[in-house]
Amino acid sequence: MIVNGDTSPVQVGIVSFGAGCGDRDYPGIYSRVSEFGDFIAAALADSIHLFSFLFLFLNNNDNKIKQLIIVLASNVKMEVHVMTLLILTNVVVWMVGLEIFVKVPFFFQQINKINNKINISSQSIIKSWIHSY
Amino acid sequence: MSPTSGIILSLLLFSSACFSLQTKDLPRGNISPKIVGGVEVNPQFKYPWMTGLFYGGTSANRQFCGATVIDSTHIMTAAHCTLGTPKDDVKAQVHRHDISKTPSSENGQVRDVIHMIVHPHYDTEWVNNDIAIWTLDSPLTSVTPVTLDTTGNYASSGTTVRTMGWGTTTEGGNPSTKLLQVDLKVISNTQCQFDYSFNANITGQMLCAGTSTGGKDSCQGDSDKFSLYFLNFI
Repeated sequence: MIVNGDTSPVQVGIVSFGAGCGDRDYPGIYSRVSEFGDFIAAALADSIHLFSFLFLFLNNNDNKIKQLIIVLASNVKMEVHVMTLLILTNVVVWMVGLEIFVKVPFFFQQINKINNKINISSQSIIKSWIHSY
Repeated sequence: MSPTSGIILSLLLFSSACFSLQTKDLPRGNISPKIVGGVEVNPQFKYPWMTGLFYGGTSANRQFCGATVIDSTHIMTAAHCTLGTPKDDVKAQVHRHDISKTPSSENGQVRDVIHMIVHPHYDTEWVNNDIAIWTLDSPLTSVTPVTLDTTGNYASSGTTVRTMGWGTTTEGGNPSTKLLQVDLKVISNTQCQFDYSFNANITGQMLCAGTSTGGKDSCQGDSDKFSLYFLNFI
C-alpha cells in the first residue's frame, strides 16, 4: 500500500488481513511499514553465516587460518534468519556441555571488531533475538 | 575438535533445522479484506517494484501474494504469505502486468527464492507483525526499489492510499489477470479497533484503510455492487 500513488510513491503498508463480509463495514488491516525499520535493516544487513564459520573456526588449529576465517566471515552476506540463530543457540548450549565455550565469546569478539567497521554488530542482532525469546 | 564431536554437532544442527522448519497454521478467520472498486494500473509497469509471487512447481503459474522490491536481491511481503509456502515451490516475478501472458513476453524477471525471513515476533493468532523479507537467488536487473515510509508521517488518518494487486474483481469470480489498483483512506487505529471490537487486536504495528463512504457497500450477496477481494494485494 502506497501514498502519493501518481507522483512519488512511498510504501506505507503491507496487506495483512481483514474480516470477511459481515453486517458492518470492516476496514482492511495492513502492516505499518514505518514500524519495521529495524527488522528491515537487520534483514538486509551484511553479516555472516555465523554457524558455518563458527564450525570452521573451531575445527582449525592454525591461528593464521583462524584469522582468515574471521575476515571471510565478516564479509560474507548472511540472512539474519531465525533458523540460523536457533541453530546457533543449540551450538552454544552444546559447547557449554563440552566445556569449550571459552572459544565462542572470543569468536564473537573478533567478529564484532570487524563488523563494527562494516556498520553492523552481530552481537546486537543476537541480543535483540535473545530478547525476543 | 574430534571427528566424533563434529558428527554430533552436525546431528544437532540437523535436528534443530527440522524443528524450525515446521510450518505453522495460517491466521484464523477470513484473511481477505474486501475493497470496493478497482481499476487497471495505467500505464502498464507504472510501479516497477511491484512483484507477483507464484507457486505451482516448474510452471509456477498460480499467483498467490504480492510483494515489493526493496533492493536488487530482496523483496518484502507479508509473513502470512510465507508460512506454509515451501520456498522451492515459489517464484517471484517482477515487471509483470497481465499474468495470463508469459513472463518473457512482458520482459518480466523471474527469480527463485533462497531465504524467507519472517519477523521474529510474528503472531499467527492475532496476525501482528505480519511482515517478511525474501532473498532472491540472483540480483534483479534495472529495477527501481520502492521507497519505504521510515518516519510514519505518511500514513496519518484520512490520507489517501493506493493498493495494487491481481485480486478478484467480482464476487466468486476469477482473479484479475491484469494488475489493478484501488484508492482508499487511512482510518485511525482507534476507529479501526472500534469497528472490529473484540474480533481483532489493532496494534501500533497495524494500519487500517477502507473506503471513505463506509456503510455496507461490499458485502457478499450485494449483487449490484462491485467488490474486490484482496487476498494477494500489497
